[in-house]
Amino acid sequence: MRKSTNWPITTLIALGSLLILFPLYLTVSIALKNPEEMARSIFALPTGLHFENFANAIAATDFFTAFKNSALVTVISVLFILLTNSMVSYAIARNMNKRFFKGLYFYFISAMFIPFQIIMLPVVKQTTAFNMNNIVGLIILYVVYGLAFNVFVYVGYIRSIPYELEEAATVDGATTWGTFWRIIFPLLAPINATIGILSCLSSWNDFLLPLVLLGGPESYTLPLVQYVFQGQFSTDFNLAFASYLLALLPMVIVYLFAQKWIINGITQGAIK
Amino acid sequence: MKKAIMPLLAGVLAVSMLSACGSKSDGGSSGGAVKVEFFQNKPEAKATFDKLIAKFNSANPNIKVTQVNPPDAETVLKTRVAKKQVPDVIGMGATDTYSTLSKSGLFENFTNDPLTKNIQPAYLDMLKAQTGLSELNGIPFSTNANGVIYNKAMFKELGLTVPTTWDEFMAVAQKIKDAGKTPFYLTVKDSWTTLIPFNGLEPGVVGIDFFKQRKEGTVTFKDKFREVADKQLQLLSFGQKDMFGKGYNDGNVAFAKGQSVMYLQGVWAIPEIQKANPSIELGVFPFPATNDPAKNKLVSGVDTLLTVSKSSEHKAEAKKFIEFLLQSENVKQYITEQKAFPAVQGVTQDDPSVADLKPAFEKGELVDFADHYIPGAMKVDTIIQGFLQKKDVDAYLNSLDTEWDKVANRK
Repeated sequence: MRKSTNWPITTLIALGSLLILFPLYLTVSIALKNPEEMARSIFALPTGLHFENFANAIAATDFFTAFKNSALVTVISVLFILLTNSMVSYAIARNMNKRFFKGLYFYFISAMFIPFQIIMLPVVKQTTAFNMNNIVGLIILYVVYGLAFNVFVYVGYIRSIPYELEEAATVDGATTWGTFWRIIFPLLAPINATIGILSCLSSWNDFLLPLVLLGGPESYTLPLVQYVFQGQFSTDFNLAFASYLLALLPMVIVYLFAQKWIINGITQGAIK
Repeated sequence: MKKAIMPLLAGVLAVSMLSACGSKSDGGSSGGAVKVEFFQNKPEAKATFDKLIAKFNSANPNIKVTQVNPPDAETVLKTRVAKKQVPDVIGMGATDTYSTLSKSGLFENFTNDPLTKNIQPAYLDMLKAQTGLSELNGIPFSTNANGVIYNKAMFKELGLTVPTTWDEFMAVAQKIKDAGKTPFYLTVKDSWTTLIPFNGLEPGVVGIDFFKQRKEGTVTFKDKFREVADKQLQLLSFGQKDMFGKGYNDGNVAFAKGQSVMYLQGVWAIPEIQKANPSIELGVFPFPATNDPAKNKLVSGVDTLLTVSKSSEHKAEAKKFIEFLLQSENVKQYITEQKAFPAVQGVTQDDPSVADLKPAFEKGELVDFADHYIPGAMKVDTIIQGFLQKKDVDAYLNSLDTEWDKVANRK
């Protein structure tokens, strides 16, 4: 028995994937051309295959130092976001009937409405006063900035977990800490994956906060060093695209590994 | 319980180790040498400055200059000022940020400083005129120029010569049009590129003094700028069809491919054009704004200026570094690699593509970019862009006057 093909859906999916694949093709092909080839035609296949663009981009950006910084910032801040923000949210979610926690909840999520540009200057002055204008300060700020959005997402999810589970744990003699760690945290896996990926992406790609916070080139993250290809009147597109490709690769890998959980998280949240 | 605390502890440990690293690199001084931080805004000049710094450091073992070249340098510089961590030596453009920081008294005063001895006086005056201060807060290092870039091969093919007056200029454009080619490739989509003909026309037709008089309220744009506006429109009629949809990058590539015979841009576009077509034969001539060749000076402004912050703890060393950069051979190396022009007398840019500009530099027949005297908040580039679309001269002159007054009243 042969299944008949659903042509309208197939066409739609094909068109959709074209929307993703075409810019990707442009990125890869520009990264492999030289300026002369690019001036001839942006869309044509590269003829020379200039792999030296990648080597030049790595040299110009001091790629590995920046990569190390970016990786450190991202990994540690995501780790701490998952640990601390979920704890905060658990405390809030299970105490929503108390005035203090309800106030705390709205206080945190109201921070979502404040654009970063508004607090930029005070943040710069304060971090300098606390001697936090370095990578450690950056990590701390990411963990704290995450609170607004993450508390919102976590609290919604935790409230959908039946309270009876915890009552059972209490009956078995678990402390609050034990309940959180043994019962709640494992149940948070899908939402942890979602938040992990979102904060991973945002701290990996963030430009403005590292720009105003970090002091010297030795602590620059990847988005900062990639600016070197863009002068006031000149842009080195080929090297820039080569270095963009190098910088986005780790995120693609993260997504490939975590996508199962993300999709899981979306559906889990939907059923309730 | 134990299991739960372990990752936390590991995390805390990792962070504390990190902070230890951070503090070590903060206060590190290498073998007692004085550390001087050199902050500059041009990513494309980073490699050249690295070479010069290496040379300086090896000649002066007791001083160690390090270069900082962050992205979006002006924003970073402003935050550094907010942090009260101003770099020792700063290399930046003569921009609005420079004026603001100068007026806040952030930079050293270089009036009558021996470092200025060899600098073209025209550029020193420009810096002073721009900030409106009596003191000089920076030393011009490299300069740029804008004018008309032309395709030499096509000029020869059509039997054209470089025009020196407005009428000749228009005759050349007409001949190109008659030959079925495009005289100018215009890039109106990027509003800043419309400033180039504006800056070319203004000094010859009206004169830079206008802005001082406008501030005093003795003249208006309406009285003086009609000729500029008419000539702007005249240039427009020689552009290609889709000029409103094309930007700076499109223009560079199109001119490199020979899609137009002339291109109204600054010399900074030359390396970009040559990247797209390394074999192109091009030249640049000063913008012939009027019919009096003596009035048609070359529009040239300070591209990079060097200055020392007042709060620097190593002013002597900082000045020594600037003195080193201003030495003829180092200036020569910089302008050769960066295709810029020197602010120092006695050094010349010998690249054949800019040979037509040489006499103007030698005679010092230079005039500043007009838009440097217009407050940034006026957004004159978008006003011009709108005018080129609507082609309404009266509305254009009116909006220049009203916008100027609006910004002036704000202060």
